[in-house]
Amino acid sequence: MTMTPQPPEPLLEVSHFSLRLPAPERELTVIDSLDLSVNRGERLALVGASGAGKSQLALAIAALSPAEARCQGSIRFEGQALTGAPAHQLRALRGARIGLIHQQPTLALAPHLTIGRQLMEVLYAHGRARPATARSAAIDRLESVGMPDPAAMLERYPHELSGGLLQRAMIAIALMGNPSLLIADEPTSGLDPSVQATVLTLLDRLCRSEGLGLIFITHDLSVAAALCERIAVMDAGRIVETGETATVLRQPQQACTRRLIAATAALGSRARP
Amino acid sequence: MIAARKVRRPLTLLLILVGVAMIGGLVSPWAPEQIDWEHITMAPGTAGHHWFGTDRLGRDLWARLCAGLRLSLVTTLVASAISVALGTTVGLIAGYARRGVDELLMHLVDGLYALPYVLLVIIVTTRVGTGPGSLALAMATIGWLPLARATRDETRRLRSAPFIEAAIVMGLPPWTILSRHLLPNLGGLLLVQTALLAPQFILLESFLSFLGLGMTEPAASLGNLLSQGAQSLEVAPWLELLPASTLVLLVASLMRLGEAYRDDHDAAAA
Repeated sequence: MTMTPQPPEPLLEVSHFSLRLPAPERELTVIDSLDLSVNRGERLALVGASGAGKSQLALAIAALSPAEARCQGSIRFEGQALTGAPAHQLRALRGARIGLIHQQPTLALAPHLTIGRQLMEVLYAHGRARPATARSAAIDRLESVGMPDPAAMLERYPHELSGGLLQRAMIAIALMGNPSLLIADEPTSGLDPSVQATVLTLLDRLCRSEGLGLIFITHDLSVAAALCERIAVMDAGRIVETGETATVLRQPQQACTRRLIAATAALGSRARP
Repeated sequence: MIAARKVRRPLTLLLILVGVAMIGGLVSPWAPEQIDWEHITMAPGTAGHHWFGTDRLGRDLWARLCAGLRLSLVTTLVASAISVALGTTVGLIAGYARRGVDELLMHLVDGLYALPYVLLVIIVTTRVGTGPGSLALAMATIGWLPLARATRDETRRLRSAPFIEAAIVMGLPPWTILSRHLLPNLGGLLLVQTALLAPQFILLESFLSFLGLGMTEPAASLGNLLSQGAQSLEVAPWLELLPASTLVLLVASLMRLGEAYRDDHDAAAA
């Protein structure tokens, strides 16, 4: 008897997920019956115009939606339901299995704590290291993200670092617990083009070397094309188009995808001398 | 950085008063409770070594004023410490916890606010007894309430700050987030609140001792010196004027300092 090979269980599976927020007159549907899955080691770009619901989806996956939000449907991570999970279970997953890179590292890093302290806190929180070993683990992680002089960097405060170094520090903190899924919420916005390219190359290398699943949120299709093999286009809280990045960008099926492509092309042609 | 000119005068005055409280008694040949039967109700400077005169029992007013000032400052310090510890803890928990816990704690704060504070003080002093410790405890019973509310509001605001969200996403336990991420960012607010609370404690101590609910004879405090001075106002006005002037200078210097810190904090937050 031959066994039919089962498809691998997705790393992340979002099914019929809706998120509504209270508004003065009627509820605001931020995410509308959304389905999405990410496999292990897969890099998915989540693109869409501002207000499409990309960042809200990222927060929902990290179970950080506002307290007043009303959620329906399910989000499963490594087979475990995140929606309605108790706080201690979510805490064990956050940082250790799911990492999140924020849009603005200048705001997301605690201003009064050194980079080293913020790295080591992740290890302590998940019982991964004791003070004796945490420091060397933090140095190793800073090295892995290409931080110059990692030992000295441990003692630096966020305000002492440039935008590019801050984003590297943010990536290092997000990866400190060795997660299997990394959510990057527009990590290159606000960075100059050369630093953007460095951060993208770094993410590409880390995803390949550590087998990370990646959800890369952006509104820049060229960045999505450079990094991700699959793309999902969001509009008004829904995924309107998904597929291989090259295919979707070559043969867009939806009007909003065409608009995004046209906008990226227009920006590109303007930028050209 | 707080403007030096705003702070210089009140801080100098406060340091002088603290200095007087700490070492003023040591330079006086008289102990605060020592009776000089030969010099009863003497005006300042009219009798040897009684620089501020004597009261109707012949006790040296300078020595008693220094002791009273010291007691008021220590009581205020202890009451402030208790208020900050309690108010910060309750405010942090209420601001960070779920809505139910927040509502419960804030209802408790509102309920205590609604009670007449003299009643609360009477309850505490009758349960614990009179003395500097119980007086500080009684003052802290109401002193922590504004601190709890201010801390709660600021914690609610900071809870949605990206660096707190990032700490939650990293899986840090609530205690770590509260103590290492939120609390250090409340330093400015706590300093302002405590600086504004201190003059109220000084006044409250004086008021309670004046009513006989705080420090009682023979111990000296600014409040009971004022109370005794009021009884001799016509025959020995210095017994009222000198403690009253000291109280005014102390409260004014603390208030000016508190206002300077508040202005600085508000400017930094804007």
